[in-house]
Amino acid sequence: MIKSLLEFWPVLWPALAAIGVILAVVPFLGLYMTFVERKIAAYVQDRVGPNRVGPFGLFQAIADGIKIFLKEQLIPDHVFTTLYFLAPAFSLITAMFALVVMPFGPVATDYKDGFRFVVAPGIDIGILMMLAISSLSAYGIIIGGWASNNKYSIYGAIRSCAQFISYEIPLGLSILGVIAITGSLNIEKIVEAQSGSLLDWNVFWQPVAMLVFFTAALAETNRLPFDLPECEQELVGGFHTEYSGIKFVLYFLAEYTHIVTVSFLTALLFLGGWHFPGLPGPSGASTPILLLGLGVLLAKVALVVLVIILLRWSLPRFRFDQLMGLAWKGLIPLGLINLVGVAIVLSLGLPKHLLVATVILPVLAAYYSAAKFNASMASTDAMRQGLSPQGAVSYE
Amino acid sequence: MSDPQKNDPQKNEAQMNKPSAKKSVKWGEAPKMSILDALYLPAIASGLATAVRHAVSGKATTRQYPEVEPEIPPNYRGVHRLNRDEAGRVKCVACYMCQTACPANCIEIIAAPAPKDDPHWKDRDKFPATFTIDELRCIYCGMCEEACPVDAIELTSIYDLTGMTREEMIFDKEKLLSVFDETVKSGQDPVRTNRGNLGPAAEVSPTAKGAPPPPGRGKSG
Amino acid sequence: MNPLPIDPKNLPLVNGDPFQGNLAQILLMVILLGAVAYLLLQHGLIKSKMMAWAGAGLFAFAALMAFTSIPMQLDSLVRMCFSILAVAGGIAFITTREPVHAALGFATAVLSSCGVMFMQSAYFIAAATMIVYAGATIIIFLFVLMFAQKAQLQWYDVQLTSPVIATVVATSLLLAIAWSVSESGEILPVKLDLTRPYSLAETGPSPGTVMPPVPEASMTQEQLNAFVPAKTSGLGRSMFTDYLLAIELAGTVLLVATLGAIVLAQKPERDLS
Repeated sequence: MIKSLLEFWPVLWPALAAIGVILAVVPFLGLYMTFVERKIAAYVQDRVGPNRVGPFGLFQAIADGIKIFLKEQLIPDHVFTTLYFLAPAFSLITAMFALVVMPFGPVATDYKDGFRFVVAPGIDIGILMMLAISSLSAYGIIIGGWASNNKYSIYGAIRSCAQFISYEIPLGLSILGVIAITGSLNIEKIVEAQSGSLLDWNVFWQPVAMLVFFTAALAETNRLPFDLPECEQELVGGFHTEYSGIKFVLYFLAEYTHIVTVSFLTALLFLGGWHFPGLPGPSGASTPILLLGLGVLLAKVALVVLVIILLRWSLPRFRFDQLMGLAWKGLIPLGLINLVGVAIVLSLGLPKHLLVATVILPVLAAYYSAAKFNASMASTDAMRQGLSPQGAVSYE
Repeated sequence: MSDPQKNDPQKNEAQMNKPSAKKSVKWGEAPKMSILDALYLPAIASGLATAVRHAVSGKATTRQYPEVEPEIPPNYRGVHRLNRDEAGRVKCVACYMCQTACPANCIEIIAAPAPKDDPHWKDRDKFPATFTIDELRCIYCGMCEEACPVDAIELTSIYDLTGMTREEMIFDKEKLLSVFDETVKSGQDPVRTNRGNLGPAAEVSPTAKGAPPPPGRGKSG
Repeated sequence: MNPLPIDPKNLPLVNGDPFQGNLAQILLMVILLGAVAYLLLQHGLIKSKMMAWAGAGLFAFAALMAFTSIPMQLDSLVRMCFSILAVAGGIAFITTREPVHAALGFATAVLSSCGVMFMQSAYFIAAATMIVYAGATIIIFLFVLMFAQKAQLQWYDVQLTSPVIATVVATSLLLAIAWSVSESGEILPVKLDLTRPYSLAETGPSPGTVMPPVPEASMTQEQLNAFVPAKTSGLGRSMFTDYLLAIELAGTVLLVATLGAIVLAQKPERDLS
């Protein structure tokens, strides 16, 4: 058995190395994203932010980490212990597991031996696999909320259920257009299809899909405009009300890992991945070129992360019916019509950049909803003023 | 909504005469929603722009506290002090007014008769043998200094009171007097009392002569 | 494609092959033993402890027999772990009294089955199962359970209705599955049907290929391409031509299951006499 394992070694070690990179970087990244978020939050609110520990407060994240590891492990009496402990772990496992097929650096589609910037290269269902695993991330929240045996927690869990189920649909729909034109579910091939000029980036012919994808993915991360499962004002802490210390860290790490995943996916699927005009592709490239590609990808990812963090400080939280309305009445129809547009363009053999015209879709939707809203306001007004026959009786 | 109501002529009439149906009522116009409003994206963009504008403005309003101390207004209600009179004696006459007025029951006074044979104390009947304030229990409402007839107890503008144990937060008479010495030395005197002047109770009582009691306390009210 | 330099089929057997070739008979025996064990267990739980223990013992014996009779390779150890987890999840699903635990048991069973499918290189079906069942269906179950949880179990939740019929149906289903998988490892030749323009039959594996097809280093790129549709359009075409019947059947099964759930959900009238 050991002999056969040794035979596998040349295939095994690049995967192990990539796993090592992910396992080493992701917790560190999660730790420092809290720092970056606090800093940006402070700047947006005209504050200074953490600046005491180390130069520019850089060691604040480490101090926070040490503090939270040394905190008391509080276990309430009324929880269902096994699931209570399992839930945060499951949350982080699913968040990290989704990174298995995600290239975090330039990966050529003619997979060679040696280190690659991905754990499992050449998985033909790559993006589907990511969706499948990230759809499991709701379990951590649901189980945690239920096992806490607490009304606030279970409300958080229930909200999370509804939110996850609703936003899975536009998430899938928005990716379908990209997949249909690329003709592959393999993430590396999707990025490969965006090489060449700037206009080959998917964002320039699938803008609506990107909008829908980004919104839905943001909702899946439970970030602020969509953080109904854990909103402090209504639910204390939501699903993590009863969690403290290291268990709480696992939940938070999972959330930040999700942000990283979403940012990577946005950069890979819509922003051209590691491609940049003038930069050669990763196939047969030398190490400096590969590192340059890595830098380009990371810069794009950082940009998306920045937008996500800034959105938190510029948008208020949705009401729950607005949240559901956005998914079912806004994003799903947009995604569907966008998909039909892609199908028409593909089956008629039209140039794919015609799909830029899909930006008309949200405008039309906005026109329609504004007209509807104004009409309903006008009728309510007339009713109030007693002008319409309905109003004469319904008022009082 | 119900049918009998609809058929009742009297009720219908009453409804037509309700204030909202009258011509004199002015109705505000509900703002119309434009396409841009319904698209939400411009609003999101402007929100992001506001966030970014603030982020890059570099005008942080944070005060770097331990290095830069805040300016505390002189009428701030901070740590208590027990005032001394010109002779350096504790000004308190142990009348229990502050202890009675205190809503948090944090003041405890034990009075003792002033030593009569000592010339230093010959103008006083009583003085506080002990005077303790539990600074943890105190709510810093200022009722004690309002109640004090001789302006012996005052709240200073010292705001950063800390301690490692509960015991050291219970201030006795010596500690309270040392707070007075410190604040006088550093010029952080509170403004609201008439320091150096005795209050109305120390003077010949006007009520004894049948006059109405003074409206305020002290000479300047 | 990323062909492995090592053919997993050449991996050494872990336990040898004690029952060389008699897999079909062994499977038949295991299933029948299991059926008897189940009936013993069910009746034993109501009537006598001895019978229940006998059933449990018989179960264990059947499981041991199955375990030792299946030729084990290195990768089938992992597969075996997934299978055991799946069975455990299924047992938890039908035995726990807490509805949420039951749903989580179901989730475990589904996810472990997905693991088995991954081990068989059936990536698409595994990911699809994960999204549809684990990611959506069971979460909806949990959603409903959290809303509509009852404090106590009702009498009809714990009462056995007809264990014999259930056992017979389950046994015949299992036998059918066992029969279909013990068909000596070869797939039927695919007829090259050019009238179906989008069929996988154009590019499918040649007759007599051992399943699952394993890419080998000696193969040309063209041969390798035959294993997977090159584009997602090929996937869609194959799903709606070659596997149309299977997909429609799966849909029908789901529909029937829904109807069954509605029928079962009606509260039976309690016989007052």
